[in-house]
Amino acid sequence: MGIAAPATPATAVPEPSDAELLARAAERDQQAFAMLVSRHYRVVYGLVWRLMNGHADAEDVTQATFLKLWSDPAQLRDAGALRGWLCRVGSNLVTDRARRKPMNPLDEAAEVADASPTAEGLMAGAEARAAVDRAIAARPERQKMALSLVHMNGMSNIDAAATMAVSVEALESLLARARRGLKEALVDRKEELLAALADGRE
Amino acid sequence: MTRDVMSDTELDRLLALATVPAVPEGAEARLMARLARAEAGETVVTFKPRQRRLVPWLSALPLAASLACGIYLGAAGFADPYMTTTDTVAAMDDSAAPGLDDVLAISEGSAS
Repeated sequence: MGIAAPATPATAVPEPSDAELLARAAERDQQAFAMLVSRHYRVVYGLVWRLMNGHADAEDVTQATFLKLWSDPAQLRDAGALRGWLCRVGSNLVTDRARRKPMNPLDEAAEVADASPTAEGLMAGAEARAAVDRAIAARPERQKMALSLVHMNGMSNIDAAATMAVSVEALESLLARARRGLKEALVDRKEELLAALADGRE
Repeated sequence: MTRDVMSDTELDRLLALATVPAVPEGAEARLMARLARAEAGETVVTFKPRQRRLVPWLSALPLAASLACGIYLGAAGFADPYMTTTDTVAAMDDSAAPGLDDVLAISEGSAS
């Protein structure tokens, strides 16, 4: 009877948790920090971009957010709340920057951010997208943040409320006001925008 | 006239249109490079500017006083008796110094 070869264990190494990576980052492990960056950069950038109405400085602010974390990773006591912490720091930095240097209106920013091809069929869709972006940009900052976290980043109301350091009821109120404002802003062009949306999907 | 309204579903469809910004290419690499620079910056030994000390000014004070004293004594003629003439060095005689008028005469050879 032959000796059976030992079963090879699964070679897939589980992804280290945020807590593990933070602990390593606290020991100045840049590789661990790079993993945290790749895990959370997109969400933080998306939020900052939205809060800054597509301003080109969004990348700089996002970087400053992560550098703040790198300066003292131990400042975050609950590693599970890292994403919320980053979003909060990012939004605070946006507010600070807006106080020092008012941002451009979205009319300019949308042109910078929108790199859609100018093909005939996509023109209406691009215009509709810009109209929606403008309507969101016109909302107050807290409403914009709630919209961005829940609708664009797919956070649950509970997580978004924790990120914004408000109660779930307060978050829902912010979302309701934001949605009401958006409806008022977009209702006049509703048919045109929905038609453009349908065209874009064809 | 009744105003058109928008349903939640319609708004959700429009919200799905909103731009989801793509992360700029190389953004994460730029961040890590910035981080590495910041780290390197922390190890640079910074030289603090030297503090201005009072001692050089204090030591300059007697020097300045000595200079002022010397100028005064020289101007008042107190040092003249101590300045002797020798055979090799002619005594200065300012009265004999030729003036501008004499220069013309000398150049024309009428004076020696």
